[in-house]
Amino acid sequence: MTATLTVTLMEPPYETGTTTTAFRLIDAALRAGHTVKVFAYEGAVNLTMAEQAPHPNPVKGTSVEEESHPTTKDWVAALLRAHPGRLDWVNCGLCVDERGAGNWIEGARRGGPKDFAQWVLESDQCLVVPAR
Amino acid sequence: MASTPSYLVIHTRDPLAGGRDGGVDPLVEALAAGAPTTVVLAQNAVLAARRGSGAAESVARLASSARVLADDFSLHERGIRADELVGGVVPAAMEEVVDLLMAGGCRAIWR
Repeated sequence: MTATLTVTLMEPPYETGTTTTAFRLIDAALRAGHTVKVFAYEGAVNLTMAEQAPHPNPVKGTSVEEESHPTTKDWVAALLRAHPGRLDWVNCGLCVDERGAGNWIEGARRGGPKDFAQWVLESDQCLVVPAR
Repeated sequence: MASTPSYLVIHTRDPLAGGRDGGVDPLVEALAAGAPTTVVLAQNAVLAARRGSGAAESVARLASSARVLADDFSLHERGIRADELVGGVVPAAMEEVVDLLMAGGCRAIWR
């Protein structure tokens, strides 16, 4: 049986393995047929920033292509593409304004804690992924 | 009728890092004493599940009161094989974690 999962993310990108683990969980839930609603709070609003860019590694002398550096905005975009209509991504507006992080990829939208509260009431499961 | 409550605790921290003593999280012990509890070790938390680690005894004790799974991706990243794990700790794919998470009555905590 498929259900709805609400996930709150707080960890900014490229800080710890938590982002990767959370994305793996969201991906597995979507592949299992569930609907996933992500409320990106605090530093997690940077996960969808459109200006993110992969980079070379000058220490190793490798190019951008050789590094194949993953960006979190590409992960989110890929999940939105792969599961149309089943992933809802809301960035907390106040957190966005604080960080000047308002230019994000297509598919994410602005919201607030009220959205999160509503989702908690409507979802079958809720998981809060804290920052360190 | 409401489902029987159970707990799913996703643990991501190395219990020996940052001055921690390697002991079992008291919250998990308390949960496991009162309801079916599954602990998923992920990221650096899987380091504790190696036989011979400073936290191995605590993990074995935890496995006697709760189901303990180790995220297979985290194990692979750290070069830890299944046969190196403390008895009672079982590798698990994220798909299994999602199934547990979405089961009726599951209360989930990320630590």
